[in-house]
Amino acid sequence: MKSKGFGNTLRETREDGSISLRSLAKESGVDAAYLSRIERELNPAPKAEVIQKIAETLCQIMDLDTANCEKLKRTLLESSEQLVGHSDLIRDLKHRFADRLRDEGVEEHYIIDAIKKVSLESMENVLSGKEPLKIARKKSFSKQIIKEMKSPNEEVQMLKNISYGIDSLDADSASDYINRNAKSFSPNLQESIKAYSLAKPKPQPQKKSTFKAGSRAVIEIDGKLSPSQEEQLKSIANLVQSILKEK
Amino acid sequence: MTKQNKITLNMSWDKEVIPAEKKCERSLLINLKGEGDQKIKKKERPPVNLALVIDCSGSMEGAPIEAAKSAAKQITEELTQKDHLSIVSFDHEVETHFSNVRMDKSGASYAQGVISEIYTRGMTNLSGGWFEGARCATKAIDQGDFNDGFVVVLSDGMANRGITDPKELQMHAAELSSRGIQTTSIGIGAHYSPLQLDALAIGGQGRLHDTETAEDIIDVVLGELGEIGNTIARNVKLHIQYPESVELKCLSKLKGERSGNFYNIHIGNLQLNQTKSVALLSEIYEQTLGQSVSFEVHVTWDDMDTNERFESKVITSSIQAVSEDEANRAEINTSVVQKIADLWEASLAYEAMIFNEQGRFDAASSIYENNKMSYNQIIDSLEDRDKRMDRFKSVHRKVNAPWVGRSKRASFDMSKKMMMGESSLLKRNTGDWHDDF
Repeated sequence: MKSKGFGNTLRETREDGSISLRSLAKESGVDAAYLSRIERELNPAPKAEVIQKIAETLCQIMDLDTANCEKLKRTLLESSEQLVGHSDLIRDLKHRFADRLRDEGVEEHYIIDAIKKVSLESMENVLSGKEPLKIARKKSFSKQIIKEMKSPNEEVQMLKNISYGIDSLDADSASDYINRNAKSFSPNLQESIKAYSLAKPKPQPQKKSTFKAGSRAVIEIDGKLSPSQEEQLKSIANLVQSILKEK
Repeated sequence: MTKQNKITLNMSWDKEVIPAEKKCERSLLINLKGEGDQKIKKKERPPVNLALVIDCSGSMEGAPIEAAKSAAKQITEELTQKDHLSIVSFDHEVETHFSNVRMDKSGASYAQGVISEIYTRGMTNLSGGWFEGARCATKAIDQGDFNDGFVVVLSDGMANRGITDPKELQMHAAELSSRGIQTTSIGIGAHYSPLQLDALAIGGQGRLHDTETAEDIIDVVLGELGEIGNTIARNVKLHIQYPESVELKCLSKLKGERSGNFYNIHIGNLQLNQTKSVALLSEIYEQTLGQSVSFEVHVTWDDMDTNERFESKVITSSIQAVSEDEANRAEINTSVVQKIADLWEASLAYEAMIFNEQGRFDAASSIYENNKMSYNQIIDSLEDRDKRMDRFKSVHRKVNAPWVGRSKRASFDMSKKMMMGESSLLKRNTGDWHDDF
């Protein structure tokens, strides 16, 4: 079944939470007229960063817990067809599903295979309690029963013993993990670290880049930027300009 | 041609028969031995990507900081130009003195100069220091110089800043160890937190070491570096399949998970020629005369040379139900009982000391109360049973009340090493974990 578009999904979520378009626009900092055009699907879905911002605002207003908030983000990103590139959310879903399997006593090497095979939608449904999770050894069921189980609404997966680590599935390196968790260890870590290195004994004055976002805002960046980072910052500058309603 | 690394398994019972139509207990000892090419032992140590993380909180002032600095300086002398070193110190703040520096002559001399400048300061942000050490080691991996890193944390105190919950520390250390960053903790003196440092070591797939002097610190760090080249298997897991008529309990406090009649036990790393033992207690329900109860065991591991996950052959061991007379006459394998008693005793002490450290004296005491009868039964055939039982009671009394100081730190460290089948890396004789009882 083809999923609904981003605009419809956003409108339904907002209305389910009894949130007015105006208050969502105000809290998220997205222009109300722009938001209205998106909801009516007159404008395409915005970029993932904006969707994240809208989703976080909805979570805050609706007072959602972390699991439901992540689910909402996934739904919105999926409806905008941008979930594929959004590895954090997928990874989070996979890890929560893996934890659920662990709770059920499934061995680690089978869990790795399950994470690869089970669809994200089924993981979501199991975790939200919409669908039951049944785990059994292959010999426990006859072929006929397994065939009957494979109805259009039920996903059945045969799991193999996969031996490599779960983290190899999302190719998450030690530095990815460190970057993701740096804040938990010290919010001011970067400020408090005085780094010395043989290669660079004396700190050099850093190059600054500025991006004007209209007459009222400037984005100033220390250090070098790659061409793709420059492109991204330019688009953010445009976004800031549109938020500030400059013409 | 290089001989492929492998792990051999061996299963032994205290008695290989049980009386028919009677529920009874049997002890099972499983030994895992790392085997491979003996020549690799003589080869040079592989290059190491080391981050030394030094606690410089106020409590380290005086002998502890001097020991840590002196050890760090000597370690720079022992490293070679193939090795990279990072030095991080922490109090309530974290300072990276240098990161990922090649230990050639000028690198080592620079490092020694920097180490001299480390002074004691404020509170203890262990998690921040450890994390920064891991970040430095990760930098060398990102630059393509190394595939993995090794963080050694030196601390004499209890963390009171940053993440202090041992479970959380263990979780982060485990996440990073699965990404190639191993952590070893070194406790200095009488006041460090064995719980926090042990949590980093357990999660980080490294070890906790108890030390007193600079010489001790040098022994364990250099010992650890020496062992890096001898490690043949990582993430070793023992898989046991047992019959439905059996209840199986691991007597060592090792992480494990069950699924139906499978029991998977995490063993950690294994070195060439190292033997690790797992003690299990099996409660076997009534069997008819002549019936056999079979156990199947195999082991899986990540091979250090190829990074592939390997699986050993499955080995089977059975116990047969015989007449009560025959079962009573059957010889007891006392060397198995001895080893099982040693492992069990060390494991109980380690677990009870964790509760004692948490201030949960009732929980510590109940460990001894709940296991007293079974332990007594197992050691009944041993000549030194009275001595063992006296010690059992003595440790029970000790963990049931506040207990601090050097003797506890040393016992904690040594009981864990006994339980895990790890040798002490200290050159001085440290004796047994129970020498003070």
